Amino acid sequence: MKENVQEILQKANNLQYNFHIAIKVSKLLDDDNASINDLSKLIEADQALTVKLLKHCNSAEYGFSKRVTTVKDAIARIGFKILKTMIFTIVSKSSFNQEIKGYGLEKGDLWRNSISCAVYSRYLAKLIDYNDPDQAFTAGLLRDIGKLILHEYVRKEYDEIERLVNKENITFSEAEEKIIGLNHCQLGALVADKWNFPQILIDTIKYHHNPEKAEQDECEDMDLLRIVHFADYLTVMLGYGIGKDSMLQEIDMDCVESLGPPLCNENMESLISDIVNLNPEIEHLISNLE
Amino acid sequence: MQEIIVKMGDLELTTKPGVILIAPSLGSCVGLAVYDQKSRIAGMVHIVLPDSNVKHNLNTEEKIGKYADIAIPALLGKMLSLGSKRENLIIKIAGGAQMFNLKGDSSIMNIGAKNIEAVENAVKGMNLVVNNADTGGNTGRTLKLNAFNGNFYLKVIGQQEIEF
Repeated sequence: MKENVQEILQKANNLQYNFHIAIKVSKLLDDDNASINDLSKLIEADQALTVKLLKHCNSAEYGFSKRVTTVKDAIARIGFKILKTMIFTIVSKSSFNQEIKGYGLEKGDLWRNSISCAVYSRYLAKLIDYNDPDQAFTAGLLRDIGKLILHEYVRKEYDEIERLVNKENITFSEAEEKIIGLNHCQLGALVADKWNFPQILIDTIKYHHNPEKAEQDECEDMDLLRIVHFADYLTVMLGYGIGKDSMLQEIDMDCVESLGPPLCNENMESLISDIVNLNPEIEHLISNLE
Repeated sequence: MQEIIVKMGDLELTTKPGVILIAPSLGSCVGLAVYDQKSRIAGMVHIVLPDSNVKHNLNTEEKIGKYADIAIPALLGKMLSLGSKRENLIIKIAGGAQMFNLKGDSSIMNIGAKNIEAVENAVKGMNLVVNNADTGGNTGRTLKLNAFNGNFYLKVIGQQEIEF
């Protein structure tokens, strides 16, 4: 039985909303007149975020010899782009680091999966000379935000979804849409829109399993979508926090290969070998944010 | 019991009876667990790719368990050099899954199948056999081996853990 889409969207209103500061910081960074003073005031208004930001800046990952003690100092040292990804990462944790029962994800699985997809997205972006690898990190991090809400419905309808996947030979997302009324990508995009996420992130959330559809809909940044589509696949294939649905999706390699020679067929196994070498970075990031 | 997580590319060998070796979240990767019933030596590798020749210049810091062609001889060879006899070794493998629906024509898509084949060939190349396997399909798995009693366990994502 199809769930009422309006009812599901209503649920989204009850989701703990942690992203308002990240969105404000993101918008401020897009404003050419923004200053370090404006940004630090905004961040310092949230004490918990400030503490986590400073702790993360002082981790071995950044290797600053002198301790970072103020938000202003942190911004000056890490720069605007890293600041944006860091804030999104910090505020995402409380939402993503929980049990997501409908998809068979234990506590920590979706968080690990999201961080992995973020790190792999940034790596692929650098590999193909995409102009904003940090944007790719954030897009990879947030792509599955719809699962935070939809998992309760997937849990109830899981047997029916699985039956439809096998019977009609369709992907898990397609079956979600047929049974529940919308899939985790569509729901994620609606929620992200409601929360005023930048359009580029709404698009990667909406189309990360279906870049071909994004092409038809003339999305602004197809390369970013292709990067996240492929990073999602690599994350699943390498087993980082995968759920019951993860492998019942689709990978469009024609779309991936259109990103250029580094991602062509003959380089794939070598690429996977290099990607696996990023795993210590993922582990560090997760433990730094404990 | 002490749990040792065998991450991607890791190779672990233990003679401590209080240890459980765990290869978690195997997607296209293949976990191989081996137990010597007589001397109670337990080993595990978490293989990512079939063939080390994919890299023209292999990084000297590469993990030894990453490629099937290197990992299997390294693990099984080590056990034999520690005195294990072939007839006492129980070998079980899990993993090698792939994405459900594939568009295009890329070698990346059948890495799971290639990993399974490479692991089976490498085991055969050591004059040994795989005693049990749960491989392929579209699902993630976790493989465990209890070094105390040689019990193997398999957990398919979303299902209960079973002895295997």
